[in-house]
Amino acid sequence: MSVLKRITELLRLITSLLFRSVFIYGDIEGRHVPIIINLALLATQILVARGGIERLLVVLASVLLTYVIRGSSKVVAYSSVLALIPSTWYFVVSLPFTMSFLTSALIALRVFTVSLSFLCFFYFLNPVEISFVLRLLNLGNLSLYPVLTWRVIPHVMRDMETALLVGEMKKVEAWKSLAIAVLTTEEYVSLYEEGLFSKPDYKPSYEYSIKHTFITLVVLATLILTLLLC
Amino acid sequence: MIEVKDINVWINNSHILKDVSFSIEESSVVLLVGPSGSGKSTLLKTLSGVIPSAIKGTVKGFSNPPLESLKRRTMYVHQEPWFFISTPYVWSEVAGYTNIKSTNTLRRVLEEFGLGQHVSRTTYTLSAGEIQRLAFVIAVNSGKEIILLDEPTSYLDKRNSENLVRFVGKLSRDYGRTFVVVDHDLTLWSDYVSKVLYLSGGRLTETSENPFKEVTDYMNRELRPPNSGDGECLKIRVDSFKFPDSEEPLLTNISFEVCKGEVVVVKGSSGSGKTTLLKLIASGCLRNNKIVSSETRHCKAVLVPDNSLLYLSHPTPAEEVGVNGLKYLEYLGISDKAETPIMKLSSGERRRLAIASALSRNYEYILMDEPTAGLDPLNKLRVIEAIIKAADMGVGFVIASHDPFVEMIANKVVCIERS
Repeated sequence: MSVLKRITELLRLITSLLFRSVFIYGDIEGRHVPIIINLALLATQILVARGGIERLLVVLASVLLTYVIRGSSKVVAYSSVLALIPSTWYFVVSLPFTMSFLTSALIALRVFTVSLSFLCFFYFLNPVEISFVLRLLNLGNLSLYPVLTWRVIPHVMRDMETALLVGEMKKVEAWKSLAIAVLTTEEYVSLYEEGLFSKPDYKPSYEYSIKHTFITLVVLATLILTLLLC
Repeated sequence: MIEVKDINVWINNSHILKDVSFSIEESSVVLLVGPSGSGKSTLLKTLSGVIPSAIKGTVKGFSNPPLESLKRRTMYVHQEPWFFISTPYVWSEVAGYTNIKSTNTLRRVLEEFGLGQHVSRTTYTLSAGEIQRLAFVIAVNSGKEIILLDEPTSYLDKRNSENLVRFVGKLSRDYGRTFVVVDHDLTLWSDYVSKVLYLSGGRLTETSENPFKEVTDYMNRELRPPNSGDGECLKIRVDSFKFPDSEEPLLTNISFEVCKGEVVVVKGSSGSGKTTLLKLIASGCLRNNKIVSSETRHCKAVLVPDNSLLYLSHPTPAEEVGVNGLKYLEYLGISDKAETPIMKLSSGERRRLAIASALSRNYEYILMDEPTAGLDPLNKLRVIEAIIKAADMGVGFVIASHDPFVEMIANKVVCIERS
């Protein structure tokens, strides 16, 4: 396999993993938990992950539990593969310094757990809620941006994936396909501006899920207890 | 009554609309037709205020009511409908831009356009046809009185196109809404339009004749499938394919062959998986997976996606097609644009350029997604004739299309339906 093909394949894989880790699944009930609780959960996970292996495993379990209970177990595989990229990197670069397989493995596990926590947070982040909160805070003129960002990023990523596929078929260097994808992105800015010009102001509405908020609070409470007791 | 007189529009020093004058009765449907690049979209963008507010340009002329007040009453739906959608979920798009807030009403409104089961779906996984219908739902429920639709049926199958046209007629007749529609299919709209405006070279005339009659009659009379293939074929087989976010498979039990020199047209309602099938075949050709098999164990193929910009990889048409491909630029009527930067080409010109490039690179098989979407009948004929010529020279085609003229040149038609 040529270097060009390998690079293109790798880029396509990463794009696809990122897409599948954060942007798929539509609007499920599990995504209707207040952002403040999600943020508190992430912060607690990072704090607990600073301890030893036992605490790391508790955090890892909390992340996996969050995915499963909130109805997104299928995402775990994609997120885990994506989280493996930085953790493998940390394992490899730390090995010459630690000179210990176990110490480097612990570093890698910590990076993996924290990366997975971030991916989990971003996955369950609901941009409509951010828009809704901005409107409640009388910042209605900013309320379009969170939803628009969540709409445009996957739109561009999907197009980038297609451009790379076509580029590979045409045997064009990956950078040329990416250059076109970047040009496309630039053009998208003006096309979205044209497309949205005559639409009325965006007025987000949003409902919270009591069930999933409660579940997340239980997970959060368990982590806080771990932090206090271990 | 909306009256427009002597409107002139310049963009980048190019005089696009020249002394355009017309009037529109309130509660009527006006159809705007004309060749690609004649200024139809520019006229809609001028009426809606996109020009000069979002696109820099100079507008001169008179309008009653003035353009400034007209733009507040107007909703413009972009030719490429995905740029009209700004939120990640179907429900958030409808609830955020209309007065429909209850889930039941929202579902019912979407149901009328076959989108009822997609309420919670992400908007970026919808097909082009589904996005087009969603954009229409938002436009007509936005409370604006004048709706400007730029090629609203270009990605729709016949049934959905007819449904949309019927709905426009009903809203105009029963609810007093005014529509200005750019479309190339006069027959589709004939029962509902009160006036047909023809725009050519930036100048507007009112017409009662179908300006494309000669070309469409010619296509109806003359289009035939190419002489069938030479025996070497690709076997395509998809037992089951589903997206990770879906419970049900999108494609099941699809099996067909495409031989060199053959045109296979894949048809089906929007959202049935035509584009996905093309991408699966494309990946299959690259990675020799079990979806695609051939006697020669290789397939030199290329995909021309519906967003043709994603196909292009060189800064100008001349560089994209190379010396050998210049004749294809001529076949497809874009030889005068050979040195124009691709970013300055219209979407129709880019579409024809991508097709010219694919034809010029000696592929054995070409996979095309809606190659004639948004093209006027003359350019459509050019594309179809170029496909027939290439097929006669031994190229095999798999084309996903709703276009009945494309179907006329098919050696085989593969129908796929959801589930």
